[in-house]
Amino acid sequence: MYTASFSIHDVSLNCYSNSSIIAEAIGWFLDYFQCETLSRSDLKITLHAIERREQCPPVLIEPDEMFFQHHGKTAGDALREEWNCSLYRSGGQLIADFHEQGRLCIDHARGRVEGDFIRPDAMHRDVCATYFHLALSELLRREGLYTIHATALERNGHGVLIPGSSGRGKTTCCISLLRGGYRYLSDDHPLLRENESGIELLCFPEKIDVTDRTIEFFPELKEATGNLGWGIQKRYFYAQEFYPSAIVNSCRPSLIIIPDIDNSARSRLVPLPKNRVLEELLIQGLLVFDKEIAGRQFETFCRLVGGVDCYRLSFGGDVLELPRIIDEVLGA
Amino acid sequence: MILGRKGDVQWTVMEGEAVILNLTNGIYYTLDRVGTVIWQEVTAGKDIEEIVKIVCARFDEEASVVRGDIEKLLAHLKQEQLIVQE
Repeated sequence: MYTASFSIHDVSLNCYSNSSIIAEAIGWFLDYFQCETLSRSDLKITLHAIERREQCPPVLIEPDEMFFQHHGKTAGDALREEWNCSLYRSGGQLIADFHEQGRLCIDHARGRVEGDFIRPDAMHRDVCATYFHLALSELLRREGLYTIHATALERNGHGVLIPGSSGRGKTTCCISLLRGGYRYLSDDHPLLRENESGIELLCFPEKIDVTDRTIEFFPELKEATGNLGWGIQKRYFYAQEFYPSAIVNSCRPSLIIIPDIDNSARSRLVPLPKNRVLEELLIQGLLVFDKEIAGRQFETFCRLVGGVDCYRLSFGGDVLELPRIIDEVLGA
Repeated sequence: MILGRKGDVQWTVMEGEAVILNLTNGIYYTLDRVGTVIWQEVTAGKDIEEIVKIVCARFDEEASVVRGDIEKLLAHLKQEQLIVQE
C-alpha cells in the first residue's frame, strides 16, 4: 500500500492507495502540501485501483437522492469514450459516481473517502487528480476550508480573487498579474477560511494550464512554448518557472473581479453590485450536500463579498496593462 | 393565513436585493427591491394582508394594484419551497 501525508493549511490528510499510478497523481497534485509525518489525521482518503466496475462495492441509491447527472465525451482516457458523472446521497454519504471510470464514497461526518478507480493506467494523471480533488474539496469543506473556482493573487497583503467559469480570461488575468509582480495563491482553486480575525484567502498552488491563445499574449511563454508541459488539452507551466514572485500562503481578500472578455482595445473596471458577485461565487463554489456545511459556507461568502470591493473587468486587448489597472483600485 | 420561511433556507440582502439559497437542493434565487421587501416581511412572520399594507405604504401604490403581484410572488415562493403556509 502506498501512503502519503499532507498538511493543508493546518488540516492533516493521509492518503492510501494500492496503485503507484494513483499515488503518483496525488503526490504530484498536492506536492506543495506534502509532509513527512502527521501528529494527527483529520482526513483520510483511500483510493483503490480495480479492473472492472463490478468490483466496486454495491451502494443503494435512494429515491430522490440523485441531485446531479451529466455526461459527455471523455478527455484523457485511453479506454473509455463516454464520460458519465452522477452525484447522489446514499446512507449519509455523498457518492460521486463516474460509472466506467470509478466511484468515490465521501463520508463528511467521518472525514473519510473510499474510492475505486477502474484501470487508472488508462487515465491521464489530470483525470485522476481531478477526481481526487473533488473528494478532497468536499472533505475540506467540513473543516471550514471552502474551495472556489477562481484565480487568486496577492500584492502588499491585499488579496485579489478572480472567480469565473472557464473561458472568461481568469488565467490570462493571473499571468498578467504574476508578471506585474503579484504573488501567487492559485490559478484555479484557492481556499477560503473564516476565523475570529476574519476571512483568509489561502493558497492552493497548482500548474497553470494555458491555451495557445493565452500563450500568444506573453512573450516569455511564447518563446518557451516548446518547453511547456502538455496536459490533456492544454499546455501548462508552474508560476515559479517564469515569474520570480514566491507563492504566498495566505492573505486578506480585498478585491473581487469578475472578468469578461470583450473586443475593445482597452480594459476597464466597472463597479459591480455585490449581489451579482455573490451569485457568481455561489455558481463557482457551492455544492449543497450537507445543509449545515452549505449554510456556513453561504454565510462566509456573504461576509466575504460584504467586506471587499467588487468590479467587473471588461478585458480588452491590452492584457499586459492589467497590473496597472488593478493597482489603481487596490491602492497598492 | 400566516406565512413562514422554511428552515432549510439561507438568505441575505445586498444592494437592496435578496439572494436566497435553498439548502435542500442548492438552487439560489434573487429578488428585486419590491420582492425583497415582501420576502423580508414574510420572514418576519407577517401575513398577506399586512404585507399588502406595507408594500402600498412603501411604494405609494393602491392595494388593488399590488395585491395580485404579491399573491403571485408568494405562490411562486411556496412552489419553490422557500416558504410554507402555517
